[in-house]
Amino acid sequence: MIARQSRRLALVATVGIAVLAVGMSAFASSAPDGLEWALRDGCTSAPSGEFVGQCPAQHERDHVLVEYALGNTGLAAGAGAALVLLLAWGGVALLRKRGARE
Amino acid sequence: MTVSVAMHLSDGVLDVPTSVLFGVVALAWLALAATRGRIDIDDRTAPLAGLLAAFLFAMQLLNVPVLPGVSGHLYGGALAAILLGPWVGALCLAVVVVIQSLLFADGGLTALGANVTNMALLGTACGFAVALAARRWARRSRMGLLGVAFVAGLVSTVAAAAGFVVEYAIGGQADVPLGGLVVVVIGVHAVIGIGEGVITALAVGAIARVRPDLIYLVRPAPEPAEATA
Repeated sequence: MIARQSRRLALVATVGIAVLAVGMSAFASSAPDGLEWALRDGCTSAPSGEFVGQCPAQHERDHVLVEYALGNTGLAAGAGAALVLLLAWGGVALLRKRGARE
Repeated sequence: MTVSVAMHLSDGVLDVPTSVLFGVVALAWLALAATRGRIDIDDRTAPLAGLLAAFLFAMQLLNVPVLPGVSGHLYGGALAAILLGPWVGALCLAVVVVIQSLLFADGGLTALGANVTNMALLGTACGFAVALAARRWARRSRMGLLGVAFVAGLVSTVAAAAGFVVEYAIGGQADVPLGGLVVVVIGVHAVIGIGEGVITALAVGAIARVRPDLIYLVRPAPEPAEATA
């Protein structure tokens, strides 16, 4: 009974995560998030994209891997969520196996 | 040189020594979590950890407006700690933050240690500490559980933001008055933390309805023989 309930819960969760990652991420607000906004407080953005003024973000640099980044499309988000699922599940399962052996 | 930093620090905000320092802190804390977390792992933990990490990854992409011109998203430190315990919860968040940085350029490489420290470790630990302190109310009733989850979510968000302020005080690159930074960073994250608390409570409440045994916080402690088996 519990096993069947667990499978159903896992299935519902997986579908929900897929919908969130692939579908809903496209509707995310483009406004800066709290930390981003706080880091830019005191600066204005020049047309070149650089920050002018005095703020914590003024020396911010582009990520060195930005050209290779998967971006933020729904498909990339879905792939990222799947990868995170596998790594976290596999990593914790591996920890359990090692713990049992010791 | 603008980059997207969704609650993640970019390269260049902290100086190199501070980035290295918090890289070491993150590694040491994660090693401790991997060791201490083994005792919390049972048959239910690995699938739940995978699904929760994927859920948090997806939710962190979903920014919603919280103030004019400011957005926020669930970050999930308290949720992970309440469902999985502080150690396994921290490891899950670390997987999310590392993948975001390495594959999505979300959070700088040199700032990875600081981001893991704030989001995966500090927020998770503080959220769990609050939940643990109030565990008897969480065990007493459903409303108690929801209330504890809400407060833990709020505190974890503010704690993660406070971690950044401490790091910036140690090695921020720009000459910015610290007092003003504290007010801005903690103030905006207190507002975001209310949303975090609500979503944490809703998620914990939904799981408590169908599978209360999955909630680490309110599970009875394992017998010693069972824990070491």
